[in-house]
Amino acid sequence: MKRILAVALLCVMAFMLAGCYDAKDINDAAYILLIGIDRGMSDKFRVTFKFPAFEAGGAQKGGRGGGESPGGGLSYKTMTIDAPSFNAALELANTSIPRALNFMHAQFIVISEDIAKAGLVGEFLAPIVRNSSIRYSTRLLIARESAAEFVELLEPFGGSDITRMCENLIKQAQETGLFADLTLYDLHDCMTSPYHQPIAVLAAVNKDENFIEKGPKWDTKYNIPGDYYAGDVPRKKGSKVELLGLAVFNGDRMVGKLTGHESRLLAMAKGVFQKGTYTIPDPKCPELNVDLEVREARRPDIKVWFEGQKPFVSLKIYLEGDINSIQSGIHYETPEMLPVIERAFERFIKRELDKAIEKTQRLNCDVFCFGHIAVKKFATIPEWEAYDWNSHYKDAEIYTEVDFKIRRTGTMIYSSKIKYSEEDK
Amino acid sequence: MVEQGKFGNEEAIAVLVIACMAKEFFTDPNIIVRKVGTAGWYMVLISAAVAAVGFTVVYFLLKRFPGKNVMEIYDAVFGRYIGFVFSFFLAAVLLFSAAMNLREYVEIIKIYVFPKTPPVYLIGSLAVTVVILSFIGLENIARYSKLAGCVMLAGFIILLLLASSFFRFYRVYPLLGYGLRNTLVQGFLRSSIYGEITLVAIFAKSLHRIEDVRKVGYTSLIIAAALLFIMQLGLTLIFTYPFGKELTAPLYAVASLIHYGGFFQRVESLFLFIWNISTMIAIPLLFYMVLLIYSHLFKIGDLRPIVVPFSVILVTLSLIPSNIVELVQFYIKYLREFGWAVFYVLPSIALTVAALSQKKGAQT
Repeated sequence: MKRILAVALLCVMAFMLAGCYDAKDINDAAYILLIGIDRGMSDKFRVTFKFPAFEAGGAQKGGRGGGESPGGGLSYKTMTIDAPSFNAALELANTSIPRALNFMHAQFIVISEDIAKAGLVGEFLAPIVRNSSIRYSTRLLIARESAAEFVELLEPFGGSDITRMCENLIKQAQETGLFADLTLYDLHDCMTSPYHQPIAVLAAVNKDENFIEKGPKWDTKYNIPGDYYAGDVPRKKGSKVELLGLAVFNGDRMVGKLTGHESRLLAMAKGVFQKGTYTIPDPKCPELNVDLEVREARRPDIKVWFEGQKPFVSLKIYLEGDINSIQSGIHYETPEMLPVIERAFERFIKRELDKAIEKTQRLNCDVFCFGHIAVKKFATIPEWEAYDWNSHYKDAEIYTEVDFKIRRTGTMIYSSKIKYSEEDK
Repeated sequence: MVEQGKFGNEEAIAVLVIACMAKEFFTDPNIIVRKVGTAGWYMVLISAAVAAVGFTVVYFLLKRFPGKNVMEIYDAVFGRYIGFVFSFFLAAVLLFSAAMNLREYVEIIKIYVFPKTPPVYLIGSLAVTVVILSFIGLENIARYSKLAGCVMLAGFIILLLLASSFFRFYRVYPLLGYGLRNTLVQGFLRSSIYGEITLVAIFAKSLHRIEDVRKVGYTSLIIAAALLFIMQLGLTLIFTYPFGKELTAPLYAVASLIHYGGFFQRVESLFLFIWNISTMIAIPLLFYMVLLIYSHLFKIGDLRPIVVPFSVILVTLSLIPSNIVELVQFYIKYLREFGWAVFYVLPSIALTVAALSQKKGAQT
């Protein structure tokens, strides 16, 4: 009996040892953090991979050298390959990198606008969504120009590493609402969805071109905050890349863009707006501004009905917020005056929202997701698919309404007038 | 005659529920979405209602012949030869079902977890488990099921709770899917999802009383239906129906979606235990049932000599499908859509014949 037991144990051990046969050490893998996809020159696609540098004794090493990118004590390398598909690029990469490329830790898949506009996103994503090592939670970005350049210039900022940089960068979507946190799952789900059309985050390298250093100073004109596309923010230094605004898709073809400001309106209409700071012209003194921190008060109220084939939509948004600053010093902190700011903000949001909706209707892309409500009027999938909501969106008559309440006035509950001496008045 | 050992109702419920659920963790949710679209979450309840009727027939049959299992009842009702055919047919379907479940498990594990491992190695590992569990017997499988069932239930609920941030209620619309009639027909056809509940008729002697068969059967059915309902509703809320149709193993895709900040992500390996353990209980249970039927048919007093030969047949059958498409769209499709004929129709014929011929077992 003991012999039989011993033989059985040996057999079990043999099964356990099988893991050693094709074991993969952590040092045998190159963990891809960023993937960039452009249209190629020598082949259909140009694929860029960014991964931690393979330093002796691990990747942790300060300083630069050998074409590596700096950042937070870690160094990174990029590699660009022209290939007919993602999997072909993967294979070709492995002919020069003595490590197996691993996508378990991939943070961003960056697709160039060029590819998105050519309707090649679906074609390129097909092998990616089938690849079990690339997670559906990987974020997907649309790069304004070259995805390779974006991947190359995305560096850790403020002492972090790329993984943390990416995680924290995406978190800003909740803090500002100027873009959205969208993953591969979102894009793939939306591309085949009969309920709405897909969106993706716009990304770009900011080359400081919009930062004007010399010339006339700004007067009293009003600029809507965040009303830019990625790459257009007038700034200097800081991180070389930025995420701002959204790309609008019809199926897998990019047909338009929303600015950061429009993205916030979209988030409000979808009920996913968390908070954002708004600067609007002071209703009593339009050359000065009022700053408001705005949040969603409750989920928007959306109704959809049909008259014949024509859809009608009613959208009511509920917002609330706090006053952050009143440049004019006008004493708005009274029950009679607070509604003045509230109504002014409601008018501002309604006007902008109507413009944004009109823009998406011109593109015939329901990114506002009114289809989620419209579908409730259809009993079966064949009826819903026969109606084809995405094609009828452009014909929809959409009525909007905004409700805004100021809850708090910051640390000041009274605005005193600034006193000037007689000659300065 | 083979002694199976006695075990309690909770153990029996655990083993039957796990056997029902195990196959639903793989490609079945995908097939359900393809068949009924957004109506899958209540289609499983329609199937449960049909299965309840089917089980009631099995229960009345067992009640009519107290102290007998279904193979003995077939012999008593139809005589040795026709009874032999009925029991043999049941064994063949169970063995084929076990083989297809084994192959399905291996295919999914190969796609998502061990892409470079040869399938024969994965099949072989599971076959060894089946052999070992068959040697230690049904009583131990059932007792282990009770222990594992609690952990698996907790894991299953945690999985859905963590994935609940992806729930969007518009995805259940249009509520009638591809039409109510289609949902009713598919619900009837796919009632074999719960077919494993009727296995209680094979190991009825392991339970203490005939009332236990009723309790175990209905309780298992209610628990399995509730879990399947929750799972199917969760999947419908996470994936729109066109996306759901594409996914090979939707539940695994759900686990891979879970992502809470930088520290809580890539948790699917934890949930891998749910489908690994459930498969390691479900397939040995089906296999053991086949051994019990075979030993009854050929009057073999000891199961041990037939365990290894049958495991070879199991592995061989599992290698028949040439690819996953053939496996899912042919073998599994027909097993699920016509399994009810074996699980519910054969006992119904036996009950009808017994009632007409006024055959009864010795009433205690």
